[in-house]
Amino acid sequence: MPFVTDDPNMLDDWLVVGPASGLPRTARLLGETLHLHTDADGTPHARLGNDALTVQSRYGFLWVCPSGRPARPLFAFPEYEEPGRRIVDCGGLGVAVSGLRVIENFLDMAHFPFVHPDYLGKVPHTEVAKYNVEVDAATDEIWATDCRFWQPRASAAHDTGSEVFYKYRVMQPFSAMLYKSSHRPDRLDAIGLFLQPVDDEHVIAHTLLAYFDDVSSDAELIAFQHTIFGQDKPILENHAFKRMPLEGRAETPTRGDTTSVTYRRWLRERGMRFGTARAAA
Amino acid sequence: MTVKLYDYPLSGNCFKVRQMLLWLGVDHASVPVDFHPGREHKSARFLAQINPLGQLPVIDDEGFVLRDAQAILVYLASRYDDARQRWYPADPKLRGQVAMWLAMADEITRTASAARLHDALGYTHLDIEACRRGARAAFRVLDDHLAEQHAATGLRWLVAAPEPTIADLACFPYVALAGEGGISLDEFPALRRWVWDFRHLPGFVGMSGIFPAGPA
Amino acid sequence: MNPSAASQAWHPVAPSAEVRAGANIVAGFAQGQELALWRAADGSPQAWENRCPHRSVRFTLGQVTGGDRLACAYHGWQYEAGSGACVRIPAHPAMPAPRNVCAKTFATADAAGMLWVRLAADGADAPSELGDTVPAGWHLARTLTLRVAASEVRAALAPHGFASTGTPDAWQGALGESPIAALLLDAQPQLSFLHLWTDAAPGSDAMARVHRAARQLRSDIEAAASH
Repeated sequence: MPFVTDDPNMLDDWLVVGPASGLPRTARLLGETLHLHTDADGTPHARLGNDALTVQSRYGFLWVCPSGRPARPLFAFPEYEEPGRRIVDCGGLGVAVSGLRVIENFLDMAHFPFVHPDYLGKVPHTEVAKYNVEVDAATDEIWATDCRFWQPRASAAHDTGSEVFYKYRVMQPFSAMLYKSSHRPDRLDAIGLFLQPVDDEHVIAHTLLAYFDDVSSDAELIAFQHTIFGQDKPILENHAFKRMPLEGRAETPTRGDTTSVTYRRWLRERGMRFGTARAAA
Repeated sequence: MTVKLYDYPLSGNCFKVRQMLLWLGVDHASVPVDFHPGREHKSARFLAQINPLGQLPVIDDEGFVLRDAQAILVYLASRYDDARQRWYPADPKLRGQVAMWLAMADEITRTASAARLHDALGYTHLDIEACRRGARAAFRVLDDHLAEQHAATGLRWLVAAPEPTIADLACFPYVALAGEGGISLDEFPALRRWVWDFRHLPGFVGMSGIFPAGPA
Repeated sequence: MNPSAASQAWHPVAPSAEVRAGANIVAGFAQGQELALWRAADGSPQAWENRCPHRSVRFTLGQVTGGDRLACAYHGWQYEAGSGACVRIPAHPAMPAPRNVCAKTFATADAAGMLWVRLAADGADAPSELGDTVPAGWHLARTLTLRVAASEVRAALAPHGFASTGTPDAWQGALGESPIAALLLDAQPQLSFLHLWTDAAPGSDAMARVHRAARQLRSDIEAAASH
């Protein structure tokens, strides 16, 4: 049996395997090496050994459904096509931890003053104000709204401190989006985090920006994202256990962890096993 | 004066130059290079106009262009350090020791930095096990040296002088980032102490992946 | 319980001088248990499971703050020396810290220039014989680390002229013609620490010979274990 897991949350869903460009190449997924290429007419193909896998190209990435029986369509990402936005692929960065912990870190604001000082937060502005978290019944996606946090510099183009407004969205166990104040007062910038699950304890984190920004160069935007992600990396790679515990009392949330509490419950309710730790006795 | 630096935030070699400029009180302007995913440092334009080796960092000090992190440290310390010359001491024996450890910094780049490029940036063509073995061998030499020198003299930097030099700065970042390449520092207690000491130097700003010391 | 068996359960995790009051946090290891070693400003030694109870990030990435607290690097949660109790959560500055959030602490003792840690939570005091493991006035030559199990080191020390003393894992012998007290730590399944104390003076030729002989001992033991 191929693949390192039989968890249907992984096998029956669309999993990102990297950019739609730069083909032919190989990609690591669920413990296996896939071969990716395109036809002369641009149709993508994915192969594991001699077996063809179900694959589609969306949002500049290739997505594979390992079982060939996707339980749902790939999530919607309307900002990708929205006029006026620039789309910047910030590349894939390998991280040695369960992807579930990477998503949880992406959803968290309380770490901004400690992990991203002078960028996304600053002591003593550490308080996390109450915000709202819901699961959308129609899409089964998690939404966190009314999030706000004081930041000295929220992106490459901001030079002064301000309260920045955030929304978070979890589309799949390994895909999330955050929306924050942009240059345009009525629009939000979007940052997509799509994790390629290499195995239970390794991912490649692909970041895609859908921004309203006519000022910064691609290199500047990518440098900022890598600065932020590089600060998270030693934290992510130094969890004493790499897999996320969904049961037991090894880890204790607090009030500001509402999104992560919802995310862990949401994973539990769908029977998530991949990337999780068994409960300690 | 303002030194132009062709820069990338996740490069430990670029960090060496940024930190040196800060410690020397020299202003700089970073020119962001799309190292990943764009591989801009390997583009025809970069090879032709900035560095034929296709590597970062490169500085342009009002027309004086220099590549190679260790060479840049030698230049900056020689030109901008104060009269004490503590970063690149003039004493022949100390200078010889500095050169020896700058060569070690190249070995650390060849092994530990390469392992990190493999794991973090997907450089899958590299022989990862050879990189990790090489890094552990280099780290053992460093750990032995630091442990023995500290026991014998109480000194805690690489060169036999009371203050850190460019030798320490050159060897530091890829040791501190070794975990990102799958190399554990558990077995190197003297090296771990040296990393802690270096991070706590006044004015140390770190880089993404190496925390500066926060306020106590 | 006789004194020898009691001290077997105390692990020499680090030289005392390496863990500085109110300053650094040192990663420690004992029988595969990861530890965060630090001292409060008053010098009291702390050995905690290297894991913040919030999201399991290692305490060794954090820092000592306010003289008597350890702050986790992730969200800045602060834990007080002694009890290990969480006393501050910066995300909610006005809220009293939850009672049930606590770092897991282990018993510690400074003796003979070493910091010792006991993994068993039985409240036992450190036996006085720990203080006899290193003669007064001796100097630490270095902590040697060997990429082999502690059992391999034990088996190799006698053929290299070391004799076991009354205290388990405290050995006496010579390296480079200087007398040596060697304290063995079972750190991880394939990693051992050997703390080497000697009467050779720091900076002396005798100390330099101890260092060379120590590296030779390490290479002999590692080569033998790989066959």
